[in-house]
This record gives sequence, C-alpha cells and structure tokens, in this order.
Amino acid sequence: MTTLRGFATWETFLGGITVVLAVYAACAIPGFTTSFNISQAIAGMSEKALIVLPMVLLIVAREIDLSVASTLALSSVIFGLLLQHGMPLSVAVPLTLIAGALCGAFNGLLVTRLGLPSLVATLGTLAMFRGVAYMLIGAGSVNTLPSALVNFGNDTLSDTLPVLSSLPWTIVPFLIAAPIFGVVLHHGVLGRRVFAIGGNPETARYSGINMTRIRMQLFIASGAMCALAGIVFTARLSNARADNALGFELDVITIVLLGGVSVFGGSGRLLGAFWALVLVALIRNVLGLSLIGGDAQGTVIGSLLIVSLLASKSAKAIFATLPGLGRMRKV
Amino acid sequence: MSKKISLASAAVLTLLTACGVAQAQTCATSPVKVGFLPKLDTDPYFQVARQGALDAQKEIGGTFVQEAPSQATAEAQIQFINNLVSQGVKVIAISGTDANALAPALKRARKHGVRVLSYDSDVAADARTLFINQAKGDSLAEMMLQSMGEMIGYDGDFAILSSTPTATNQNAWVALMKSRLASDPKYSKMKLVQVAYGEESEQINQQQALGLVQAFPHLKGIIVPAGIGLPAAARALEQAGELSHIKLTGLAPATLIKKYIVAGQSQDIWWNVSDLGYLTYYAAQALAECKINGTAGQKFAAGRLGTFAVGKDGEVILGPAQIVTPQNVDQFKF
Amino acid sequence: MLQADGPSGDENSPAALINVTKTFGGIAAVRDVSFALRAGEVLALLGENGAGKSTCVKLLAGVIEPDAGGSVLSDGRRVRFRSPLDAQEHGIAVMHQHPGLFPDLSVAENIFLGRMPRHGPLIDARGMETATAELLASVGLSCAPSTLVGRLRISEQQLVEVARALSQEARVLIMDEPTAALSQREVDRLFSLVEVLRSRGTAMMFVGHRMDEIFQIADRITVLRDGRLIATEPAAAMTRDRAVSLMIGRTLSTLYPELNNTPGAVLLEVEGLSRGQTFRDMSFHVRAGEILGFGGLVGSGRTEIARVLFGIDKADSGVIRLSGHELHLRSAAEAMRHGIAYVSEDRLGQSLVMDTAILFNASLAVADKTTRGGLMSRVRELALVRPHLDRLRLRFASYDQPVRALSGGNQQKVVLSKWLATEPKILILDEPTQGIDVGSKAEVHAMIAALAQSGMAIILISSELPELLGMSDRILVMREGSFAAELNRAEASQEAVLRAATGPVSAVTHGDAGESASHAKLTASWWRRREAGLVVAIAAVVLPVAAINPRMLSPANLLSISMDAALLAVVAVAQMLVMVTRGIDLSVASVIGLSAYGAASLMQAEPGLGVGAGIGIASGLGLICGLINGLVITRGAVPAIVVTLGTLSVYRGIVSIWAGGRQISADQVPASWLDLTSLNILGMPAVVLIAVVVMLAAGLVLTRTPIGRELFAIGSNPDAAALIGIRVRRRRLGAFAVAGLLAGFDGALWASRYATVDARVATGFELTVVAAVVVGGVAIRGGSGSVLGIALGALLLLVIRNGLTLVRIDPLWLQGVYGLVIVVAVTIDTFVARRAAGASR
Repeated sequence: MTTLRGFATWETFLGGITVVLAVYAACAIPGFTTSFNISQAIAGMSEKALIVLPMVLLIVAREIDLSVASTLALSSVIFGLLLQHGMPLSVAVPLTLIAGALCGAFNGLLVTRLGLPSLVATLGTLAMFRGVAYMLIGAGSVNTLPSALVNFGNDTLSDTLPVLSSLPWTIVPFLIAAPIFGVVLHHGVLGRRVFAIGGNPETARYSGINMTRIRMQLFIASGAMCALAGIVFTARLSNARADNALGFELDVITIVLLGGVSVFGGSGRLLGAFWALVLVALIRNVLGLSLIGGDAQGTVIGSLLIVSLLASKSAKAIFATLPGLGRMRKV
Repeated sequence: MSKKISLASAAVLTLLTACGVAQAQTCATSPVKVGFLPKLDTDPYFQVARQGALDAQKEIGGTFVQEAPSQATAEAQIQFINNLVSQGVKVIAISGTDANALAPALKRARKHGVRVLSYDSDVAADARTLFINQAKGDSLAEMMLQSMGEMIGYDGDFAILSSTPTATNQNAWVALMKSRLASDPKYSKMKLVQVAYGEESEQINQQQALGLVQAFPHLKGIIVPAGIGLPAAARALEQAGELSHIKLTGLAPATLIKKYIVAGQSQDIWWNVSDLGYLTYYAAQALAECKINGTAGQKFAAGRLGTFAVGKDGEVILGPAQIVTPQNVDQFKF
Repeated sequence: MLQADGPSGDENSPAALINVTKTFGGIAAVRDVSFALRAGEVLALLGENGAGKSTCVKLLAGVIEPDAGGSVLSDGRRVRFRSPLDAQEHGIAVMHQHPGLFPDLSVAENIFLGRMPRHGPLIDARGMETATAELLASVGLSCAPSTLVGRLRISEQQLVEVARALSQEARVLIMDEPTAALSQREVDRLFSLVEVLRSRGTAMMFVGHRMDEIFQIADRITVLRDGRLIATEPAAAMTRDRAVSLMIGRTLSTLYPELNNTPGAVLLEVEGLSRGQTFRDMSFHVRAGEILGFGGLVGSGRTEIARVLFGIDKADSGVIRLSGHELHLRSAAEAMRHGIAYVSEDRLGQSLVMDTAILFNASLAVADKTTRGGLMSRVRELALVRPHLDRLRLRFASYDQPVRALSGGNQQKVVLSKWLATEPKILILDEPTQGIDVGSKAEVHAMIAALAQSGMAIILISSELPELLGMSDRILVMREGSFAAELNRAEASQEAVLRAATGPVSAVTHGDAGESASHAKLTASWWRRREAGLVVAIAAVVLPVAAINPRMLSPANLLSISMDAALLAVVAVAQMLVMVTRGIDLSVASVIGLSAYGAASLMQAEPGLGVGAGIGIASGLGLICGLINGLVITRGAVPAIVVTLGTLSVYRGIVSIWAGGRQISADQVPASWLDLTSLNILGMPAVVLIAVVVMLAAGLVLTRTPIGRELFAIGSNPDAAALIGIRVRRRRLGAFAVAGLLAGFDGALWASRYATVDARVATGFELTVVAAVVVGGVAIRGGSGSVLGIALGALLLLVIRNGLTLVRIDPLWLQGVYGLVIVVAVTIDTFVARRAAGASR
C-alpha cells in the first residue's frame, strides 16, 4: 500500500473535516472556545459516546440494536429507584449494570435462540424496555441523589487537574472504555471473529466460530454499556425517569454509520466512529450557538450522513481507477 | 491508534481552555442581552410571549434572543441553556420542561455569571432568582375547579388532561385541585377519576380526550390546564359528538377556544400572554441591573404594566387571571 | 480428434456455438468449441465435471458472452446475447440446474413472470391459471397453480422450472441436468414431453450424467473434455464404453506425486451413518497417513457426509469414532478440537472472507493461538501461518492484501494454510483443486502427499478422476447417497469409477406425487392463517375489554379507532411497497409532517383554492421526498436504511425551519378542509372511506398487476429478477416514489383530521408504522405481505391501545405492551416459516 493510500482513509477524512470545522468555529463563532462551552458540549455527548462503542461492534457483526435508548432509560429508572430505597452507590451501580446486561441478554436470546432478525427484535424491545420503565416509575422521577453522584455528573476535572478544566467527569467512562473497545475490536480475538461474522457469516461458521456465543456477548455488552450510560445520564441530569434519552438510538446509529462502519457488516474502524462522534457534537454545538434549533440541526446531520456515503462510494471508485493508488494487481 | 487520538484530543482540549475561570455575577449598568428559552419551539404561546418581550425591548433596549428545543425533554433544553450561556447572554428566562432536571445546568449557568429567572413554568427554586407567574397558582387551580364545578353542577365525575408528566405548573395545579377537592365541602360530590397526559401534542391530546370519555362512562367534564390541550380536546369531542354531555374548562389561548366558549360548551381561564413576555423582559433587565435580587418585598417597574412586587420564593405575579366569557372573548388577542 | 458433424452442415441451425472460448481468471473453461443444435433433435452434452458443459449452457442462455474470436449463432446469424432476456427473445428457453425461482410467488406467477397474460392493465388470472394447470399436468406436477413455490420440494421446484421453459414455446430448449432431483416417474414424464417437442421441431440440448438417460433421449452426443470438444457423433453409433473413454481418454500427462506413505492405525471409523435423503448407511474407515478418495457425481452425498464429520450437520443415525472414541459433534469448533479440519468446496462462500486480508483469513481458524497477553500478536500470527503459506508457494504482494485480489489458485492456498495451521489429524478436502491453474494444482497435490506421509489421515472428495486416481490410496464411490463401490489403488481406473458412479438409478424414489398434493392443501390453507391469526388476536383483545367496558364497541369509540386506523393504514401501505422490495423507509413520518404542514399552510394562505389543492401539494411534496429517497438508493447505491435514516432528519428539519415555530390552528383553515376527513358519508367518516379506497387500489395493484407481482419478485429473489429482465432499479425507484406520494397524501389527511398543525406532526411515528407492517406479516427480508395483513396489523395495534385506555390501565404501559406484541408476532412468524421450510425438505 502506498503511503498516500494510507492517508486516504475514511477516518482521516472525517478527522480532517472535524479539525477544519473546529478551527472555523474557534475563529468565527464567539463563545465557542470557552471551557464552559467545550465542557458542556462534551458532557452532552457522554452517554451517546458510551453507546456508540458496542454499537460499532454490533453493526460490524451484521446486527443492530435499536433498544439502546430504552435500555438506558430502564437502567436509569432502576438505578434511581435503588438509590431512592437507600441502597448505597457501591451496590446500586453494579446492580444497575447487571440489569442492563440482562436486557442485552434478552435481546441476544431473541436473536440467537428464536432467530429473529435483530432489527425487528430490538424494535420490539425498544418499546418493551421503556414500557417496563414506565411500569416501574410511572410518570414520576427520582431527583434526590447522593452528592457523590451529583458531583460526578456536574463537575469537570479541574478539581483534580486544573489544566483539564474542559473535561467533564461524565466523559471519563468513555475515555476509559473507548481504548478498551478499540483494542478488543482491532487486536483481540473477539474482534477478529466479529469481523469474520460480519464479513461472511457462513465462513465464520465453517471456521469454527461460535456465532451464538459471540452474538450474545455483543448484545450483553451493549446492554451493560447502556446501563453505564444510564448511570451517567442520571448523574448528569440529577434525574431518573422513564422518558430519558428519547430518540438517542437513531443518533447513535447515524454516528456509527457516518464513522465509516458498513451497514452490511464486516468493516469499519472504531476510530472512525470516534471522529464521527466528535464531528456530530461539534456540528450540533456550532449550530446551537448560531441559534439553529433541534430539528434543524437534524437536517445538517442527516444530509451529512447521506452525502458522506455517496462521497465514499465515488471516492472508492476514483481510487480504484487512479494509477498507482491502491491498485491491486492480480497475483 | 485510537489511544493516540484520545491523548491528542485531550491535549487539544486543554489548549482550548481560554477563559476557564468561573465568572462572578456582576451588575450591569445598561440593558443586557436576554435569552428566552421556552419549552418547545412549536408552541404559539411562546411566540406570543416573544412578541410581548420584543415590545418591552423596544421600550428599554437591550438584546433579545430566543431558542427552543424541538422535543419537550429536559435533556434537549439543557443543550440550549448551555448554548445561551456560551452566546454571552446575561440573563436566561426559561419556561422549564422539568423542574428538577434543569437545576444542575441552571446552577452551572449562574456560576458563570448568568442570572436565571423562570416564566410560565417554574424550575427548582434554588436554581433561579425569580419566577414570573401568570397568575397565582392557587387562584388558577381554584378558578379551574370552580369553573368545572359550575358547569357540572358540583356533582359527578371529572378528569384532568394535563401537559407532560413533568410540567411543574400543571403538577402544582393538579396537587392544589386535589387538596381543594378533599378539603372543601363545596366539592364534596365531585370526583376526580383520572389524570391523563397530552404531552403537548395535538394528536395525543385528542386521543386522550376521547379515551377518557370512553373509559369513564359517567364522566361529566374534563379540566385541561394545558394551552394546546383544551382546543384539541374540544375538537376531538365535538367530532365525536360528545360535547353535548361533556363540559370542558381549563387554560387555553382565548382565540383558539373562542368557538366553544361562545357556544357555551367550554369555559376558559386566561391571561394576556403578551403581557407575560413583556413583564418577563422587564424583570430580566431589572435583575441584570441588580435592581432586584429575588427577596420578597422588592419592587420594580415594568413599563406600561406598572410596578410589580416580588412575592414569596421570588415569585412575581402578572395579575389575576380572567374567566373568558362570550362577552369578553373578543378582548383577547390570543 | 474425431469429428463427425461440424457446423458446416448447419448454417441455419436454430442455435450454435462457433469456435467459442471462455476464460475465467486465466483458466479456459471452454476452448474453441463448436457445435450446432438441429430442429426436432436432441443433442446430449457429455463430459465430466469441469469439462465445460455448464459454460456452454450459459453461453447459449445469454448469461455470459464468449471471448473475442468465438460467436453464438441464432438461425444462422451471429448474435450477441447481453442478457438472458436477449436469448429468450431469440426463442431460446433454458431449464436451469438450480432453478432461479421466486419462493414467495405462486407457481403460475413463477412460470409467467415477465410475460403475464393480461386483461387490460390487470393480469388475466383465470387465463394464467388454466395455462398453468395444463403445463403442470403435462410435466406431471399435481399441485395447485396458486401454490407458493417456496413450499414445494426441490424436485417439485425442478418441475416448475421445466414447466416454465416449456411455457415459452421456444424454438430451442436447453436442459441443464433437469433430472438431477427427479424421481424415475418424473423423468419418464419429462422424456415423453421431449418426444412431443421433438415432433414439434424444437431443437434441444440435454446436459446430463446418467448414461441410461442420455442414450435413451439423445439423437447425437457431443463429448467435451477439459474444455475442448472431443467428438460429436450420432447416439446410435456410440456405445457406452466408447462414450466413457471419450470422456476420460486423456493421456495422463499430469504427473502426480509419488505416494510412499505407509498407512498406520485406523483414525476415523464411520458406521451406518445416515442423514435423511442425502445419504444412507455409509460405513468406512480412514487410517493415519492414508488418503481415502471419495468419488461420485455431484449430489451423490459426499459433501453432506463431510459436513456431518465436521459437525456442521447432525446425522440421523450411525456412529463416528475417532481413535476408538465415539464422537458426538455438535459444532465445527468441537470437530476442530478433535483435530478434524474441513476444506470446503465453496471457496467464496464458506472458506474465505473476501474483503479481508490474507493474514486475516489464514489465521482465522487458530485466532486464539495467536495471542500474546490476551491480544492478537501479528508476530505469532505470522509464525503460525507463514510456514504453510511458504510451503504452498503462495504468490502475493503483502500479508495485508485482500484475498479478493488473488487468483483462484492462490486463494485456495490461503484456505489450505488456514486449515493446516490447526494441525489437524484428519483433513477433509472437498474439491481442493477446483477452478485453479495447473501450477497451483501441482503444488497442492505435493502438499497433500507430504501431509499423508507425515501421518495425517486425509479424505479427498473430488470429481476430477485423474486427481482421484492419482492421489488416493483407496477410492470410495458413492451414487445417489449410497455406497456404490470401493476400489483400491490397483483395481481403480477411470472407467471403473465412472461406471460405479453413473450406474442405473436405484429404485429409491423421492416420494410420489400424492405427497405433494396434500402439501398443496396445507400451503393453501396456511396462507390464510396469517390474516386469520390477526383477526383472532384482535378478537382476543376486543372481547375481554368489551366485557369490562362495553363502550369499547360503542359507535363513537369504533369511529375514533377507525379514523386512527385509516391514517395508519395509508402510510403502512406506503411502507409495505418499499419493504416488499427488500427496502425500508424510515422517513415516512417526516414526510407526513412536511406535507401536512405544506397542505395546512396552503389552505391557510389561499383558502379559495379548494381542498384538492391541499391534497395536491401534500402528495406532491411527498412524491418529491420519495423520489429523492429512491434516487439516492438506486443511483447512489446507498443502502435504504441509511438513506432514509438521513432523510428522516433532513425532512423533519425542513419542516422545522419552514414552520419557524408557527402553528396553524383549526380556525385558520377553511371548514371544507377539515370536513375532508370528518364528513360523514354513508355513516362512515370520509377518511376511513379514503383509506379503504387506497388500500383496495394498492391491493389490486400488488396482487393483480404485473408491476405489483414484479415488486414481490424483486424482494423474493433480486438476482433472478434481474436475470429475467425485470428492471429492478426502476421498480425500486417507483416503489419509493409512490411510498412518498402515499405518505404525503397521508399528511394531507392528517392535517385535515387533527386540524392543528405544527412542525412536530407525526414525530416518532415511523416506528409505529414499521411495527404495524411487521405485525401485519410483511417480511423484513422482502417478497411477501398483503394489504389485508397490514390493515389488520394496524387495527390490532390501535385496538390494543384503545383497549388499554378503556380498561383504565395506565396509558404509559402501552409502550411495553406494543413491544411485546411486536416480539410475539415476529416470533410466531419465524416459527411458522421454519416449520414450512422444514416440511418442504
């Protein structure tokens, strides 16, 4: 592979756009480069960032999980109720993570044992899980939370490391989890198998890969990460209620697809999803600072998704014909 | 590779921390930039309030911006609180979707030198300095209950079709109504059978209204303390032919419910929405210039509306609400 | 080289190949082949696997084109078949070996798709049915013309394929192994048809393996060997032995490595192994260091045995023993743990992940042995894999090169390395040198010999006789799933193997027609069951609720349900159109919002324009949105789910910007606009009638027009659809455009019904729509569904919601119940589909 080809990857492209946009925003938009703005923009993405990680693995494996936001809400409600009943954080957090993992396991069972296509199965659980959340807490909410949790949800790292005043604590779980996911996906045996399953499920089967077990693992991981996101969400908003995170799932999937993960499975890089995450957060922030509201922001993001996929197809075609760049000789 | 990127991003971020110090709240000497943050961008109620605020702005100066989320959730509103702060507004006037969930974000805004007041729908008292209320909560609740009682002869089943489950005002009114029902002998023969939620959506309000009527065969009336909800419920019930035996009352823009008021099928308790926006803007500027700071008893001037006093817990009342009758319905521009 | 009849005497033959050569990846499948078909005559094409028969079939069928220098003749004129459609138009019909049928369409539709008899714009169903019944009778398939092809057994599907070819009444009929799946009785039937066609003057070509059949049916026989034409002679002048010797009479110039391995202990023992119809009562053993060859025709059951030995499939009965221990293999991983490796015959589909690197593929089977500290280490990967790749002399640019870029031979080397890295004790090779060049073949053979020498037990499944004979210590020949012969090195010869493999067909039949008749009854009533199930479900909700709260059945309540159902049903039809072609449209709700706002704005601004203008602008906006979706999907080749995920946000944002926070309320629009939906006509609200009309129209188009059936075909089998000339892209574009139009129309209805319109209309509705469609029986994978089904699905969802409200269950619980309903509905679907698929095996 020529070095030029090494540069011409989707991740580099996304990273480039992000940097350009960031520079533009820093120069042209007043109020952008304050630590307040940046820390809040990052905080606002903390939960989606966590959910993007397992979603990348799922989509690479030719699955999808539409129930992520509902799992988040359900975990958040369970977490809030546990705390309300006096359980200490050290017990409530692991229990909530287990609850999320169980939701994920339920999805996994539907897909592996019953053989339902994951799109439909998680469409059903999207409604079911949030429904259970409503059954547990109704229209109410839990607001009085332990101060340790509230501080986690609201403070930036400036208290411990003054120079990092732009980083809210809520992004720290992601910063820890992302490299782990990246290493597992790109350098772990599990990741290798996930790529095989997504690239050609039959070949994976004939290579002795336990498809059922891996799919279950992916869904359980997704459930657990959503529970973690639920804890972060509850901390950040000091609020546990059943309608938390409404609509997150489409955002997360958009980010993963924008990040270059193929919807057909078998290819994609976590780094691409990371850049897409940053880019989407940046776009939303820039638009919000320019007085452009919620749905209108969606127009930009939606167009970006479509244009990016069209562009990547043409880019691939162009690269295939350019001499010397990525030319593959038949050996 | 991803590890390298994370480290790089962290480095970039630290470089970008320009003004990292929290600002103290300073007193302005002239009118400042005020940011209005309604619950939802599609509710015409807030457009009308905006009009009133713009009128006030023309009178005393300053800058007015308004932003709103497209979803009636706290999560969405928080993004805009942060955006307004980053845009350099000095005062945020917010109509809160959720009293408690917004508190941390508002407190953070205050730490950055931004003053906060709420209007129309309150947030947690420790997260804001003033609350500009359209009418005294008790009085609104009392008036709605009174109005319903009148229409159904103080006897029978009725329901409440509220806004979102988290809306502070509505929840406060519902609580008040429930306590009145329990305590006041006048209402002893009236029974509240259900509280439903219209979620600020035309479609859901219509469906819920019909659903209430179907679920409770002996229902005689519905109180709808939500602006979009009352006209929607009226329309739905009219279509279903139920308006002959179901009475409606609540809070709604007079112009939208006019038809039903004139026909005697519905009552309405309303106020001048434009004035609410007008008053809020004046209060915001007064707050910025340190003329008031939320202590009970303080007074401030609000243009053509006169002088207003700050009440308990920083509450400022616009005035008594009016019952909209066929006689005075034309007075209301909204 | 013997030559009997050359093309010189057949200038005007209905179809002929002149000097055709076709190479794939550097290997010539056929080289300089010429023969001509004659009217009223059957020409049999004979040859081993890989001789070039199927290439000839594809050339005549228009699937592929000859390389420069050769040509295809039709009626004496040179023609270019750019697609199978061209060949069809020249009067050539083909009976394919693997029928490209549409499982979700009926037998009649499969036969006539693309040229359905018409009554104006509608399909002449009666005429088609009669014609189909005649054809079925003549081929001996006794099932109803309306049976879904997917429910038929393979043999029955083959007969449908026959019927389809016959229905074209072509001048030329090409039959590619048509008898492979048929019973004796069906074969006799087919041959009597051939006689009829012969008398009609049809030119026919028959490709087959069974000598008896060939000599029974053929007038002339053409023998191919290694891609070349060896001879074309009258059948009467040829004997069976001569035919065999022509097929295999090659000078064994390919040298095979000298095998001086000494077989050791018995490693693998198989006793009485059986699996359904595919193989019965197989017993054999393999020693360490021995190469056991498996000979036989394609479909004789060899691959199926291999799959059982590798744990992919389970045997019905019999025992497998490894070094004396009985094995109960439940998965490939378990087989691998016992030291069994299987090199599949399907390189692309089962051995490689094409778009990934050489190293990725080569280390896939031993991934967990490559770790250092829990992570995969490239160094260890290479260490495990390089020795084998080097030994096989793989030619490649770098270890990170995608395997797609390699030649077939090098790809196979990667596959072999992959399995050798697992250090197996027993290596099962299934057609290991199929489709690779001579040089690579030799290298592979050398490797196999060396492995045997080192003590590995090897099972070699091969259809290439020289290879089988050259490499095996013993040869086991299978025929039609049973043991035919075992030959040791000394007694084995090409003739012996071929004779054993192609002997007379045994008396085992594949079941008689009686079974398929009861089959048909099952399938016909089954089709009804989906809608019936929904009706039952609806009743199951309505009745108890009505018992608790009789107002469930009150006119007012039913009215409101029906109006909501009407709105949902119209947009569900839109979604169905798209899903039937294997697409999905997540943007429907946003389109509804956009067009609702558009219509309301217009009605507010220009009330004088009338209701029609409102509907028009709404539908127009919807159409534009749908066209955008369709164009990006079909021209830009971006997956539908991604595009509509994007346009969902884009269209919603456009409304948001357009509305700018404004709301259009009921009194700002003319009353006639509101009456559009609420007006009472014949006791029903107008919107319900409109929805019913829309659904009837959609149902009509989908079930009774050729375009509608083509949509289902596209979803059922997109490749086959393209092959028979259906304009897949155009139809898909049309589906999205019409879906947008309907969604836009629904937006107008919405605006009229709910009166107050803002930018948030129908937010989140898309998931309800997909749910209604899925519950209503439309498969996500496309190809099936009915309008009645989705109407019932929509109704069921709304009835559930209404029921919950009426029994005063917290409406917040509704979400949970909806989710459960979706999961239950799809689970039932899956089970039923599995049962039906199982029944047809």
